[in-house]
Amino acid sequence: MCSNGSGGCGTTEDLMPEEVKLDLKEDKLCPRCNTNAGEVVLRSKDIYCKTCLLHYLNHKFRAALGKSKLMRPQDKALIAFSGSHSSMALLHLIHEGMQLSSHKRILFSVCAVYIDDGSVAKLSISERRKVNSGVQAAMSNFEHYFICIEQSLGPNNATLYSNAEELPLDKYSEDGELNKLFETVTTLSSRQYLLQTLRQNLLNQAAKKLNCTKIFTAETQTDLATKIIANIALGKGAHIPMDVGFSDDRTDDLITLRPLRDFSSKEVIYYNLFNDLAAIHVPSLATLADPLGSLQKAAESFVSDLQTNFPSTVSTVFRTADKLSLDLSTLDPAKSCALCKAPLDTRSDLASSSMGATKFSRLVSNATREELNAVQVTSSDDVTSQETVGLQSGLCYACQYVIKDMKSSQEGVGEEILRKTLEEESLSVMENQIKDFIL
Amino acid sequence: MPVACSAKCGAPAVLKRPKTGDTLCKECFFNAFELEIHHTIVKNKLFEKHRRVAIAASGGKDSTVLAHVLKVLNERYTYGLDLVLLSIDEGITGYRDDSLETVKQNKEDYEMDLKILSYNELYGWTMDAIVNQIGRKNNCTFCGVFRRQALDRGAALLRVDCVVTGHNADDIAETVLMNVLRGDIARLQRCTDIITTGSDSIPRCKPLKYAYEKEIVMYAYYKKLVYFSTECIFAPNAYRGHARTFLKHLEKIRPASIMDIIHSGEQFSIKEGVKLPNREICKLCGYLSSQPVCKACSLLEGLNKGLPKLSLSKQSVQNRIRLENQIKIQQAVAQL
Ligand SMILES: [Zn+2]
Ligand SMILES: [Zn+2]
Ligand SMILES: [Zn+2]
Repeated sequence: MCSNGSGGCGTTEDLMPEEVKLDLKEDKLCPRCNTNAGEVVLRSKDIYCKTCLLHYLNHKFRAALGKSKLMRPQDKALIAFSGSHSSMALLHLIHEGMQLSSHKRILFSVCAVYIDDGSVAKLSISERRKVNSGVQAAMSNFEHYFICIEQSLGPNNATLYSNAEELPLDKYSEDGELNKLFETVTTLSSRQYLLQTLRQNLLNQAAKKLNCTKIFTAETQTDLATKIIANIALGKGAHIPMDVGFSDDRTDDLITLRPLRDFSSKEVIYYNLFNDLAAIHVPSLATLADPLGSLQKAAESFVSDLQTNFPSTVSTVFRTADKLSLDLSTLDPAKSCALCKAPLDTRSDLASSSMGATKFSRLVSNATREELNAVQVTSSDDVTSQETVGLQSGLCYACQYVIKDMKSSQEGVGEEILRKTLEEESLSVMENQIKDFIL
Repeated sequence: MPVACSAKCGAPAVLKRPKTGDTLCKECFFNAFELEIHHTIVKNKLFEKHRRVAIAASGGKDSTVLAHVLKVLNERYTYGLDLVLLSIDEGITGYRDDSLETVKQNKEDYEMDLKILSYNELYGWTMDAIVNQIGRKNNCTFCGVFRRQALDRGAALLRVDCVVTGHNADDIAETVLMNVLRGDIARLQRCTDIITTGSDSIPRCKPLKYAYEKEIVMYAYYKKLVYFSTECIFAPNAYRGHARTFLKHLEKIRPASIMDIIHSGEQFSIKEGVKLPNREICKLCGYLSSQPVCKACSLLEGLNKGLPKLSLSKQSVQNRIRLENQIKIQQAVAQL
């Protein structure tokens, strides 16, 4: 076989068009207004002046929301604020939209929520206080709240703090449950994954508490293309339509929207530049890690390197994912993952599956010769149909890694913390469902 | 201190399996590796009894191990298959001519019939000549398109019921990534299928779909199988090179990620209403194609005209060249 291996060799891959780089001449006028000098080139060919660019981006933002027909004036949206460039831009775009006098004005109400996860990144309390005061200033135009990532493990009724200074950072000390949990997880890939999922669950909790019907994330097209590649590597391909789509309704009564998904990171940077917005640097779990320290980090550098050499990479990956839908023939929408809440993708009764093959490998690698001789392989059902046990059985394929990657020496510690949290969470969901009927 | 074999046979382990992290001795590894391929074959109903099956043999590690394991399993589990080797000679000096010697050795070792078909006899062009004409930019495109058709033609000549190829887990994972990066939605949906069938063509299947490249090398190494290990002298294009390096990085971070990417790929489902390319019959050669004239025929037209890009030429010229090519292909096939 061709050393290029797979069936993909010999397709149109190398016939990809090379994008023409356009140099911006100083005297070039913006073709949109024919008045101002062009300042920015997007998509390697479209020239904008500052005014026209801001107009275009504001319009694009409101059009994305309008087209979705998901926002009603009585809605309240929780904005997941992180201090990043894109979340600074998101707040500003909403603020601008609310100031408009015309019929285009944004009518729904919003609040901004910031999750302090500094303890996971091993930041000192004074460093966290400094970050939080910057965050508070950035959110000051809106009703806003602070919450600590530790609260994702606590009771399902997490307290929200409207002032950064009220956050009881000392209470969530280094020897808390959360740090114990993270300490047992051995890989950076799984630690990043766990943190992201806990953050999402905490946002859902906050949204319910604040009577929000929607959550806005600030993920750009560039972020989402990276997430697509990372999620494929994490074995989370099944949930891509939910994880990167414009709207995600995996939790009852709450829809997560990604209104910046048509923005490139370059557009966000220019938007902030022209509006004098500076991102807040918040060191995270993976900030100082090696570029190949985790699957997510590797995906990040892969996509950004590729984008430099092949400028259509991000938009192609993004458009490809947009053509995918949840596979209802393999997923079980009635059973959702206890951790990420997406439908389980772990059915063991399907004919060909990578999961079944791995299970079989594990079985034959640990069986004695006699046991091996007794293995009967048939096409209908066999040894691999055995269900996973314990906490893992309620988790999707990708989430199971969080448990698999826990230190075997501290058997059960991390799993127990996680189990308790997830149980409480599902109890509170049940209570919520029946609360109107309890006398 | 030596590590014990996970299978508790008492022997010291010689290797660690990348897929599961288990440590195995040589004998237990052979058992596990072979049993897994048997499992893949049975679970997916790849073969019916007494079928004639062509193994696409390149002389490389994948197809050498595939031929060896299929022979072993065919006897052990009485599949009753009639196995033959099918090789394509692309006409690459210093690469294919040498690797074909390995295939001929396989024929002797495994006592199977061997059919070699060359690009030269099928298309009137060797890859050497093609590269001479078009340079090294799109050569993999030509080679891949031609090989796909050549395998189909060879399978028809050998009157087999199925062609097995040596695609391994790493190849499938790489293809999943490449199809996402290229936005090839139709291939993305098909690329994790273990059996691919066209309405008209002979089914293809991949018994090594879940076998790691590393384990295939380990198997060949400990079984002392002779294979040809030189990479094609025409290196892959930059884009695929990036994807391959990325996959190696992922495997280093989490060895199971190759299986995880395949799991992701197996779960992809295309949204309703997304337009997929048509499947029709090529006007010239009669093979399945997404356009009126298939990729192989249109590439061939370009070559014969001395221009790799066809779109520039006038319709009348195109038609004349098409006719000439059709005659050439018919003559070539008639001589086989
Ligand atoms: Zn302008
Ligand atoms: Zn999950
Ligand atoms: Zn052993």
